[in-house]
Amino acid sequence: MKRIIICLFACLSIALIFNSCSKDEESFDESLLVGRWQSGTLYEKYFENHTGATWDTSDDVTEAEAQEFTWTLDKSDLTQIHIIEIGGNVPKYYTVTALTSTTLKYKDDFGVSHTFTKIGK
Amino acid sequence: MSKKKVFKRVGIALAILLFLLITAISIAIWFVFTPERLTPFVRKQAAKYITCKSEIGEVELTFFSTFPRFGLKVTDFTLINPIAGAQSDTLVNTQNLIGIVDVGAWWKRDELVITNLQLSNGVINAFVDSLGNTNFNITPPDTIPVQPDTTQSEMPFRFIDIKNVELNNISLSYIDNTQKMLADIKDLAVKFNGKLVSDTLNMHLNVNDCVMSFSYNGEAYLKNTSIKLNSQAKVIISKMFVEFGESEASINDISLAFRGTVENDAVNNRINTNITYKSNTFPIPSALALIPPSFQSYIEGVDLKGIASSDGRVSGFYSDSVMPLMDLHIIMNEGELKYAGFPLPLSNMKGDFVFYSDLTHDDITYFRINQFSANTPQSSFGTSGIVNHLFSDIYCDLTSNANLKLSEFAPMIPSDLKMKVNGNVKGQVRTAFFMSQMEKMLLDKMRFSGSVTLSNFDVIYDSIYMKTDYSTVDFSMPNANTSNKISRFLSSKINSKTLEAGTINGYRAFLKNALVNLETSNVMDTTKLPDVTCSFSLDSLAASMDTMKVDLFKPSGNLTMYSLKGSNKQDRILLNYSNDKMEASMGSNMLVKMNKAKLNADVTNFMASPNIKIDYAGSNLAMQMDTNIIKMDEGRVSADVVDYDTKPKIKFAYAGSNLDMQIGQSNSVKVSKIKMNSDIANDPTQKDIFLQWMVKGFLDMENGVISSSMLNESIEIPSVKMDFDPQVFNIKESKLKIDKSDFSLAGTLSNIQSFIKKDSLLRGNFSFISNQTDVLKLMNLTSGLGGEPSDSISQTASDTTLSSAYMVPKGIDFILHTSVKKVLFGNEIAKDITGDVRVKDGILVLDDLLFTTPASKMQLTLMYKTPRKNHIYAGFDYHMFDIEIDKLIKMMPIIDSIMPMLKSFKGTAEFHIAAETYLDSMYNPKKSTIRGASSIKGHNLVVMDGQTFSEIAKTMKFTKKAENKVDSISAEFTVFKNEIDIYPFMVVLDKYKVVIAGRHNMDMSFDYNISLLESPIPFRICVEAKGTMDNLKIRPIKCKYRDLNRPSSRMVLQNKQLELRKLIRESLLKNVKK
Repeated sequence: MKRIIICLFACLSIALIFNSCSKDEESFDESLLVGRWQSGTLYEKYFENHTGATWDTSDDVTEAEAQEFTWTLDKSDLTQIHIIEIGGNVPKYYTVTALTSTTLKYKDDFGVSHTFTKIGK
Repeated sequence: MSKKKVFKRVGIALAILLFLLITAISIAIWFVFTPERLTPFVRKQAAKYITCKSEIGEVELTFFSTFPRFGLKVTDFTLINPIAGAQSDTLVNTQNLIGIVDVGAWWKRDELVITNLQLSNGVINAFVDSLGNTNFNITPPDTIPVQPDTTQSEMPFRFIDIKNVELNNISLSYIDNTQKMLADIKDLAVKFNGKLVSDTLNMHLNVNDCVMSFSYNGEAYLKNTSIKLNSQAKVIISKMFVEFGESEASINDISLAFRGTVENDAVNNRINTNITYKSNTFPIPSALALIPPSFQSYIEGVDLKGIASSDGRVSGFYSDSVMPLMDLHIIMNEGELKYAGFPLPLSNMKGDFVFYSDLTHDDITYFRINQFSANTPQSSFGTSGIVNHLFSDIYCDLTSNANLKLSEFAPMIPSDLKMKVNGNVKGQVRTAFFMSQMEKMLLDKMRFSGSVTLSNFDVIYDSIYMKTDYSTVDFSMPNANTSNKISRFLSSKINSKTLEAGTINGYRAFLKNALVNLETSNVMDTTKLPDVTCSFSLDSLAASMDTMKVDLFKPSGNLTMYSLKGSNKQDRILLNYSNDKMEASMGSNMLVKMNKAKLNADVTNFMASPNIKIDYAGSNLAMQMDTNIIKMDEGRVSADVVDYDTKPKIKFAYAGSNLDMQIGQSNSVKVSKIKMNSDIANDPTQKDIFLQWMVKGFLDMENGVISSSMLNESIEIPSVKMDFDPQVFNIKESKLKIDKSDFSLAGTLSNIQSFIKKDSLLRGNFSFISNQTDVLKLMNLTSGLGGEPSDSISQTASDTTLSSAYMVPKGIDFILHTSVKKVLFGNEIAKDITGDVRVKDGILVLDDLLFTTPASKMQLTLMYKTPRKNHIYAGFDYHMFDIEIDKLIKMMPIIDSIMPMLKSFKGTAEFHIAAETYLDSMYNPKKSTIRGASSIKGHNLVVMDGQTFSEIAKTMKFTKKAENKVDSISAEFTVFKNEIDIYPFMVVLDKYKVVIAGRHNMDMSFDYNISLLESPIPFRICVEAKGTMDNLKIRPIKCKYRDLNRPSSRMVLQNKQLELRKLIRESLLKNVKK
């Protein structure tokens, strides 16, 4: 019986360990996101109306040719809905890790992160 | 007494009487009328009747020398009457003067009968000074008062009979200073007989010989000229009328017979003549020698020989103002002429001329050449006709013929003319013109006609040459064809066996058996173009210039050109032309051949605003330029052009069969029948060439085949029917076949004019109906159109490779409403495809194409944009319904890479995918621009054995079965740049529920999370499959989607994922047609 109790306790402990409380989600001010951001040759711009666009000059794409998306920032959840012109959406879901007036960092569920520097509005 | 005695006695008596008579005469002569007695008597009597000094040597009575009459013989008879300026003081001087005067007649009947008057070895000097004083007025003036003349002519003798008057060796000199006339006759020997009754003298004058010089007004008309005259004449002294009977005269060796009358009409102060004459043949030089010196200049340098004769008549009045009418007929033979100004001697000259004139009246004067001919050393020529109006505007009407060897006349060509002529010219020419017309070159007033034959003719003028072996030229000016109302100036007919003309080292034209009829109006009228009618027919014509050559066989036709005539008062050109065969080439690269060609042209008002009608028909036409060849049978072209100078309008019609065009070595267009009608209007105010020429009409084409090295397959065009105008092309029908594809195209192409003006888009709206279309073939066919092949190697390597991207035209808006029963796409077959293909202003859209393949029913939308060459948009929206999963993977292998587990399923699913990317000019995707979203949903699927599935099953303690049914599968995935995100989806397999999610990268690495939510085992098992297929690592992890099937328990992430999945699917399904 004692072994059984010990085992149950161990299982409970394991369960508790694996089901520990999640860390409180960080919240960012979306107004800081509005503007033009640069990460190397990659650019993103966010407008207040929750639209945005992205382009990469390494692929010979200019700002005027940028592809559009819509965005939402909920706490640290940044969702970009990239619009396929012919029809269809490509959602991208990121977790913002840093957002200041000059810096934007976010990462996806697969650990791919991006760091942007604000270059203007 | 016998009769004999009687006669004897009578005879004796007569002899005695004769003796006594002779004795008496002798006594009278020698003893009674001795010179010593007669001479003083005569001198005394002479002094009574002669006022001048006279000298009489001796006067004796003659009988025997003047038998049977008595006569007087005077020796050394001289009359001396000096007068100032006279050639001599001596008026008359003669050694012997013998005369018989019938004294009885004079005494009894008042008749003067002078017989055998002889004057020998004498000199007579008659002189009239400038005041009219003469040295021969030697009779004393009549002092008896003159009674009123009651008779017209009262002679001292009622009858004068002069017989056998002879002058021998008499020199006569006559000088009349009032008339400025001088006559000098030497060795004059004259016999004269005459009877003067009342005032009529009938005489016979025989001038046996004399040498005469005569000058008048300083002009020496005769100089030591031998003159002979034998004339029977009747002279009416009171009227100063002479009527010559049959008379003969000679001047030098020119002898002539004449008769007629001459009368001095003192009342009218003129001489009336009526003389006919006829000469014997005489040497022409003798006649020329009679030309007065002042006229000799006219024949200076002329060496004319030959013989001539003349007959004629001189009649009419002669006075200071009037000349008698001369009708002179001259015949010339054996003439020879050398003239310094004419390099060729003329020989064998024959002529028959008539000169008819009074030297006053121009209207009756003429010179008629009955016949004239002459030879040069190698040529001959002749002429006949009339020349009149000699004193005003000379008119010549001559018919000439010639047989000329032109080389003879080369010296006559001025050296600065740079002209050489050889060959023979033979023919007859009639000319009729006034000299004023010739001087003013009034060709329309003159008449020229004739026929000329050119043999071995060769002429070179500067660098221009012409030669013919045999040609005839018939011409008539004015036009002999009076039925021709428009070209009356000239008609000409040229018939040439061979004719070559051209320039040295330049162009050349060679005509064979050419027949040309040419009629024209006045070519000298510079105020307008001549009216011309011309017909021509040739066996062949060959022309060349530089490397250009034209050969025509059997060309023939008619050309009519006239100005300002016809019902419309317009000038006009009409041309009918045909030839059996024509070949033209330029260099070795350009060639045109034409058989049985006919060309009709009608050009009106060509001087102002031409209206042109052209009809062409040819049985065969072949043109080649380099490697480009065009062949056509039974081609017909007609064109009608109006308002050429202002706003040309053209009606153009073309029809032909068996049109065969070879363009290069491997491009060709063949059409069995083609027909096109068009109206073309010109608007010169437009700057753009397409706007300047507005075209409307229709095109009808049958059975065409287009082959090209750019096309893998030939394009067959069974038919095309199309209307077109400047704004709209209306394709009523067009059928094409390309390999296995056939389709018809119909519709309109609009806004053409506006498009050219850049006012609007060029709009096209077509229906594309096909029984079968091979898409890949069409793609290969059209791939690269508009692009430049980089090189032949790349083109050979792949027909679809482009060195640069295809740029969608801007400014156009085309819609293709497709309806295809069967589409071949590689090995795939799609059926019943409908939808629109649209090209609009740089965007190509295949809009909602619906079609059925063996795999599924599909809907496809494609978009291709070319905003710039290195930034090309390609996007598609693809929906497949009830597609077999294995065939889906086969159609889109990329899905196997993204969802490798999918190939473990068997069954039907619906599949939706939309994706876009931008491409560079080499069609390489720009990864940063790749976007894609897909949704797949399947029901009643079975799971097939597979390596991956086995590994998963092993890890998850699945029971390995050959085939396991699942209820459904529903998954979404997206593509963003190089990231392919597979959103969590659940696979229900019997009592197992598995959730799969993860990421697949373009480098084929992946990171999947697989969660076993329900299973016979009491706990959940989740694994992570990560790495690459070659380096796969699977390890258990915390279950990420354990509550995905329990909404109440879902975590935020799971809800978000489901929300995004919904978003993806709904956005995709939004484009699906119901």
